[in-house]
Amino acid sequence: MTFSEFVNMGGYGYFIWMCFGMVALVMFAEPLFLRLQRKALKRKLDRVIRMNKRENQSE
Amino acid sequence: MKINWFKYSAPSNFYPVIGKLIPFFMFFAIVLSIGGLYWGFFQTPDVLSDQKQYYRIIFIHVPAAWMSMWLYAVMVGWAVIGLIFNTRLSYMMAAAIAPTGAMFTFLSLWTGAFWGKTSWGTYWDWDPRMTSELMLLFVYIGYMALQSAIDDTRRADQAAAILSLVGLVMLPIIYFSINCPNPAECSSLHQGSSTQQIETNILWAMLVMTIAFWAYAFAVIFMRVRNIILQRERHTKWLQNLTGVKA
Amino acid sequence: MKARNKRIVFVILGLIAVGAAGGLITSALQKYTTYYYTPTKVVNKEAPVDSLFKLGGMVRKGSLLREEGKLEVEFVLTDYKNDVKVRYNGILPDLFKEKQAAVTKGHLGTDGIFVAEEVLAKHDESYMPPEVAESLKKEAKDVKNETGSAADSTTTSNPSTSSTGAAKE
Repeated sequence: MTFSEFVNMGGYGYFIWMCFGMVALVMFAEPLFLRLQRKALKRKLDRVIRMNKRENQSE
Repeated sequence: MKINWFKYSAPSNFYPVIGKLIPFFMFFAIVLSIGGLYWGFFQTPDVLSDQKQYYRIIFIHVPAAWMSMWLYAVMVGWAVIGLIFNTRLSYMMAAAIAPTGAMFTFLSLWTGAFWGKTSWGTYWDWDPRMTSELMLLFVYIGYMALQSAIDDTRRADQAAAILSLVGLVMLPIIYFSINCPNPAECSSLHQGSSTQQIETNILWAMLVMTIAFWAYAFAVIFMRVRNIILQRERHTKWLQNLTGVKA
Repeated sequence: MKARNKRIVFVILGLIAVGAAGGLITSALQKYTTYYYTPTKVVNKEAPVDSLFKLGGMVRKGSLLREEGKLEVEFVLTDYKNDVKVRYNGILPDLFKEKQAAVTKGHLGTDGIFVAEEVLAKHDESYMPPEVAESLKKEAKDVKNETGSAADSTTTSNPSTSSTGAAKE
């Protein structure tokens, strides 16, 4: 079986790859988004910690 | 060895433990997906008695549809535990599951549409199975919308938990939506499921993909619940001590 | 103020979602109860003459007619009691076959022929390679003493049932 035959999937390539492509896309995007969200949340947490420190110092 | 499970109901103990588990689940998800897809694409017949190669959509369609329902049940389970014991973490788990459950519901509808187009001849029909699965997607979205609409986290959790409990009715509706005894007498298109009339390689590839989806679900749900903890507990000492050092 | 606006937007979105959901359920139920007719109902003149409806049944064995080089096809839908002839001009779905279930959407002509705008095929829950499915079928036939052909024999006794249907009116 050649690569193009595999991609063609007996003429149903469009339907099959639309499905598998969407699943791959979503399952790739979701963890990536969560990683980015985590980084943003950590930055926010850092700000909170710094603010607390400043308050403690001024006291 | 006796494990004190209650210890892990505290976010401060749960957070580092699941952080260690995420890479394992991700690893299993990737390995099992590759294995399952190899099995599904290269160890299975190209032509079935009535379907052609497009039947291979089954390897993602059925696991995604199963996940959409199972995750909903697990989500309601956490929500109920939250309602009963009033534990913060259970609500966080429920909230972490919803987006992934909604995503699987969407994927089952999406893959079903393309499968339907090739086999039945239409992307969409108001078939009971498809309509009820679409309703499940709305229930997931409703849960997330309600959860984020109420500013007070506690009340948001409780309100969303009750909504999720009401939405539980969708699971039996979906399950029993295929109830046509004679195909000549109903207009429903979706066929039933049977594990006896499936070629063994197809069945196994499908089951491996299902386990892969479970592993993926564990990984992303743990990732999300950690984010939720970071968000909700940012004013607590334990989190500031934990991440403050190497944030 | 900002938070309140956010809440209002969510409440409106929620109401729209609930409304849409309710609307979808009702429309779906309506479509499934009122627009679907079996060949027997059509023969008994229960189906509307001018408006669009769905007709479903099994594609009768040996009834599929196709002119060479043309898209137009003719076939007979049966519920094993009565038959309705269907005419369709378009591409048939991959699973459309004789002795398989199909659902068509269209309207009934005055000549009693159903003109379909859409033809959908159904399939069963079997995911077997053809040779395995064939041998399973044979086994089932041996066991049940040819119950599969019993369904075909009921269709041949059709004229009598449809004439009783006509006599009712």
